[in-house]
Amino acid sequence: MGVDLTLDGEVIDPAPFAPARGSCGHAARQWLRAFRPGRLALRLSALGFCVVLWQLASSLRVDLGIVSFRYVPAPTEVAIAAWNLLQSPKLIAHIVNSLSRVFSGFGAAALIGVCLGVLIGRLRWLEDSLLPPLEVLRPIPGVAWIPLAILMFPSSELSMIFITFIGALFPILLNTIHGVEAIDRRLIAASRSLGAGRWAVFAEVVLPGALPSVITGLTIGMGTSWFCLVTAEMIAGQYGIGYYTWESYTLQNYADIVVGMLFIGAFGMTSSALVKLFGHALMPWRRVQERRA
Amino acid sequence: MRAAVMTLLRGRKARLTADRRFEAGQRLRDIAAGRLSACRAAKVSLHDVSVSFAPDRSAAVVSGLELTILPGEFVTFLGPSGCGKTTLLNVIGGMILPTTGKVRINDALVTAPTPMCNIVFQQHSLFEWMRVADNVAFGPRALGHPDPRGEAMRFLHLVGLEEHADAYPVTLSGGMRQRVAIARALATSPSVLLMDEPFGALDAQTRSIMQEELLKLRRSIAPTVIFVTHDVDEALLLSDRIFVMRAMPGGLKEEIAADGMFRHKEKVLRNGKYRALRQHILTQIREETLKVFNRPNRMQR
Repeated sequence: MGVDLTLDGEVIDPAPFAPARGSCGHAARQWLRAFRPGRLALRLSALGFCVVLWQLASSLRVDLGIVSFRYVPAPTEVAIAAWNLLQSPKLIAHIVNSLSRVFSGFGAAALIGVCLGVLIGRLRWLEDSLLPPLEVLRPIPGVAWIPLAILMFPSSELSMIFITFIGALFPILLNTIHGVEAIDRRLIAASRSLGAGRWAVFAEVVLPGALPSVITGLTIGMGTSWFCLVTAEMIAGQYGIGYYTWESYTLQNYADIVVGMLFIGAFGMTSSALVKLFGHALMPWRRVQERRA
Repeated sequence: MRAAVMTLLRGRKARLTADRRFEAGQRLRDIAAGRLSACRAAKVSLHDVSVSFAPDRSAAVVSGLELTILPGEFVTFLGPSGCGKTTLLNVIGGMILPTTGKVRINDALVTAPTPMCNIVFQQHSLFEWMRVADNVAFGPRALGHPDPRGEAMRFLHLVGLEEHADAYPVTLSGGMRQRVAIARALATSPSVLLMDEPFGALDAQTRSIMQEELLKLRRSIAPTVIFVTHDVDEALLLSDRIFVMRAMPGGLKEEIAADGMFRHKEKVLRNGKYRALRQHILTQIREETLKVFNRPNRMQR
């Protein structure tokens, strides 16, 4: 069955040339292949290059006319401010408060957005009755909701959660609707002719079929939830990373503003990555697809 | 009043569908218990079937179709693009309701997709999120088969893919995916198998192998097969009867009895009758294609 390997007419043993499965070298090669150190190095270098540019622009007080770095704090100043914040006893309170607001808002948006999105995607009459008002509300930015949020909710905490909820809701809702509507009608027809009832079609075809879009919506929603945090915590009185950033602005502590921004960026990126990981765990077939791509 | 009548009709339709699902499930359980033979091919009859997608029912895609397909027959629809072949298949499968007329499988009126009648599409018809065995077991499980996995393995063995039972469809080649789709469609022992250009997206070699596989499968499982293709050779090789369709509106132009006489590929290549029939069908399709092509308002659209 196998083909002999020959060199100058002599049959040779291919074993020494084959990758030694289970050996350290093989494992290292596999790890390196998966890790792609070249790409990682390039990404880190790009990040480092941006920081160096920022340092140069701030320390040289570059003024390009349209944009000026005269009052922008340099990375070294930001690093000192970050170190001070890391040593501050208030840091934990800031983080815990922000996390609880973002995750409460995001959780509610995920629940309502996915359920409503699936229903709107499946039921024409619900799409006709709910989508127009939702489309009107969608472009309204979080900051415009502040006065109403204060009026509508009994506590400032709930108002803040509402702002992060609004930020996350629309990406989740619209992606879910798109995911449900994009399911190939032939798959639904095939499942029905195979004898599946309404519930089986919904649970075994519609939901998993829409899952990639839902996960995309959740990932974007998590990002926009953090995006709305500063807006939400403008209402806050004491704690929160958004509140810390806003307070630094009012007190003109420019380095602290950047520290707050970087914290929000880092937390936003990490939580979006967690949502992505959750999505990967839910969709093993996509992992196979990505590996083959 | 109208709303109340519609609600009643919808309720009746839902009850009918539930009854048929129950019957199909019972049938599958009987087959599993050995009380019933696996295949029970059905007669398919179309009476004055017309389909129009326009709100005023004008511009029919299919018009006034009268047709009876006998139990166990292999029937192929051939015709130019847009002549309504796929629409016709969807009407028989209950996925589209005819604007006028009736479709019956045996004596049962088709009003919705039913497990008596399964369909294989050209592509993208597998559930990508299910492993191969779960795809095939989907129907038996939905119909309450006592051992859906076992049933799936039996049909995967039939199409030679039992080794790939735990793979995801994305890892399979086009030909293998179509074999899974066929196994899945056959796993509920349907009385009618609808095939919408099932080998249309495959390369010539795989297509030829799949045609032979389908003929082999037909020898062991013999439901009524309604096949749609653009390939005249494929139609002559597989079919008992061929219907050449006319275009605008779609309907039957000519019925050709192939009687399965061309099923031995190697024998028919130099066969004069085969060549003449092939040429005749190609001429018929060309006439219809030109008719569509030369429509006076074609350029204005």
